[in-house]
Amino acid sequence: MISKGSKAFILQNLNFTSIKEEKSRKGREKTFSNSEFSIDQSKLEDDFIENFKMVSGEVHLLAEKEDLIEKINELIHEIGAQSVSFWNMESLKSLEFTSESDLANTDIGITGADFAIADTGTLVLLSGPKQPRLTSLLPPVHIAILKKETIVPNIHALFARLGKSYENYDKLCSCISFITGPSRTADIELNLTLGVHGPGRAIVVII
Amino acid sequence: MITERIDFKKNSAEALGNPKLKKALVNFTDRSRASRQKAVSGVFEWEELRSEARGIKEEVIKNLDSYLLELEKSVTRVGGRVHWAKDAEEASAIVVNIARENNVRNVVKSKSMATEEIELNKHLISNGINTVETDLGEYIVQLCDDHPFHIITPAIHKTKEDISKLFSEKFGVPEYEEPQELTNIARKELREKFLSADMGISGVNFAVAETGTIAIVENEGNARLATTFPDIHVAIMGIEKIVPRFEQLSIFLSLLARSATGQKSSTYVSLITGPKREGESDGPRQFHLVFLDNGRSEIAKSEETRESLYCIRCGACINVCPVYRQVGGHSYGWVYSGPIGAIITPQLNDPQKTADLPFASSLCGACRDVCPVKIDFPHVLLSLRQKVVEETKGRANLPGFIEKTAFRIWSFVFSKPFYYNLAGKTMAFLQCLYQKDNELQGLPYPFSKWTREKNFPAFSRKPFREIWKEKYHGRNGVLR
Repeated sequence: MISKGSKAFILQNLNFTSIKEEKSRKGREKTFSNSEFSIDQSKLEDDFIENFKMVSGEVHLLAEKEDLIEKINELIHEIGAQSVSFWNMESLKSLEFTSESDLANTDIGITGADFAIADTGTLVLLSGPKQPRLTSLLPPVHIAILKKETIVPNIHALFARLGKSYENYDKLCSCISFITGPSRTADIELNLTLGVHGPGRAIVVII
Repeated sequence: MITERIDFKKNSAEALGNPKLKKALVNFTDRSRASRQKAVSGVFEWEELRSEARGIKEEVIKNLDSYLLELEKSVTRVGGRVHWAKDAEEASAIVVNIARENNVRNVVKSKSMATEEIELNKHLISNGINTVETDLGEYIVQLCDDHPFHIITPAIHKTKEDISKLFSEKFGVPEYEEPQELTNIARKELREKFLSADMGISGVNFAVAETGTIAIVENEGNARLATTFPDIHVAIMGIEKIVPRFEQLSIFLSLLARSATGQKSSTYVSLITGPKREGESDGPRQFHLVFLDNGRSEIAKSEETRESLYCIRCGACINVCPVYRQVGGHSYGWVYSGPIGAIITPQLNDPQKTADLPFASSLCGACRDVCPVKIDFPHVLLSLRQKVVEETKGRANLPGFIEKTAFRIWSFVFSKPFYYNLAGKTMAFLQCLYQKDNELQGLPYPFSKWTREKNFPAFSRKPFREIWKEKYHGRNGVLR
């Protein structure tokens, strides 16, 4: 049933040259409100917080980045977690836990966030050797540490930013995850329920 | 594949006779419409986004052959493998083959309409491979051996009582009524499936030709799990899903979530580019991408209906459709329902078995108004209707003959004042047999088809021409 000729068959079918138009690859340069100039960073922060809370996310704002460890400890205590797994981040070096490797049996996953989108309340996490994907996914609680200067106004600005950081996209990471609040479903009579597969709580600590 | 003719009228009659379903449909369509409207009104450049998206899709479909080759090259460059499937059978065979080659026993699936279309589960299971749907709605549908009712919310026709009974039977748990409790049970059951799976299967919302990236949009996190945890990830895409450039994803992602569920953004969007890289602790070791044609390249050829391929499967057209609101998803007889089903199903299947579908619309155009890529549904529907009629032209066709004769008589009568007058009078005279309070009820065949559903307004005893004559004859400058 698997035929070598399928590729040729499909391409042949699609080769209706009479209507071929010039590929307008370069033509479409229209941009959507991603003017990055004159953006008030504190407004972005407020927008992000508002939108993240709107999707049942929780936000903690820190005045000093030195307060981070204290805040994380406080959250771990409040959740009553026995085990924690976290990304290998400079800012978490002094955390008095060892990172649990069995993520399926861990109470909290702590990650950074490479970017955030203000007008949708979205965290953007890039995958990498130091940034596993499952930390933000398997444990029932996800805590993300976000630097406020990485918040961009909207998704168009985000893609423009990604475009800048990846010349030709040759080094594009294997997975970019957009996370907007805790895992949710409305599959049972349209009732919103949280934590169906991913974390039921999504917490952002902004420094 | 469709084996029997889809009888839309019969299916609809069944749905209309189900009051529970009717309530669910009204509730669901009302809420979806309202939340979409709210989300869309927050974007001042909404119309520009729609135009831009349509422009991109127009260009993609016209150059689909070269974009597919570009995408294949990009996926290969990042370490993935591309498979070309001309039809449903071949696509399933490819996936089964990948599973066999790697001794796969357990498969987890995230929601994908393409895999519904090719009936992949059936093929995997008949080859001895355990296959579990992991989207909550799809999981419920799979547990009761049913079909999805809607492309976004597949189990909307099940009440929470149905589901609590189902879970109680299948898992031996008490009958919980609260949706949150039911969700927790499903989480527990499915988490085990994820942890023991050797292969994850997903659909594709968008595939970027330039980078080989696929975008998967969801709310539950099951697609993230299915594409991260197992060693092998197989993604199946209809060949029309291509977006040329990475940056253009921002346009489509903005449109999709708002149109589908009225969210500003879906909870999770994963942009996956090939298998995991060196040094990464998670992610699949193998990444396979299956290009599914299954009739799409034929649609691309047709100038009149090509725009059917611009669809991004958001379901907005379904939620606003006055026909769907009454008859629900199963009446359309295949995996795609509502207006998109009415145009896609006949083009991807035997046109004779699906001939009812282009007529399953009032042509009101609400679908066209909300479509994020501006598909002109009424235009496509009319073109498909024309095809159906042309197909039957050569053959003896009684309804067609009656219709034609009726219109011939109608045009004769209406173009001669004498006969027109006579007809009016005759009707006014004849109607006394059926008249009740200025309405006609229970007319004989073929008019019974009308009066079975609703009453017909009675003909006036005195025609307009006579009233006019009496009132204005010789007055107000109206001459004889």
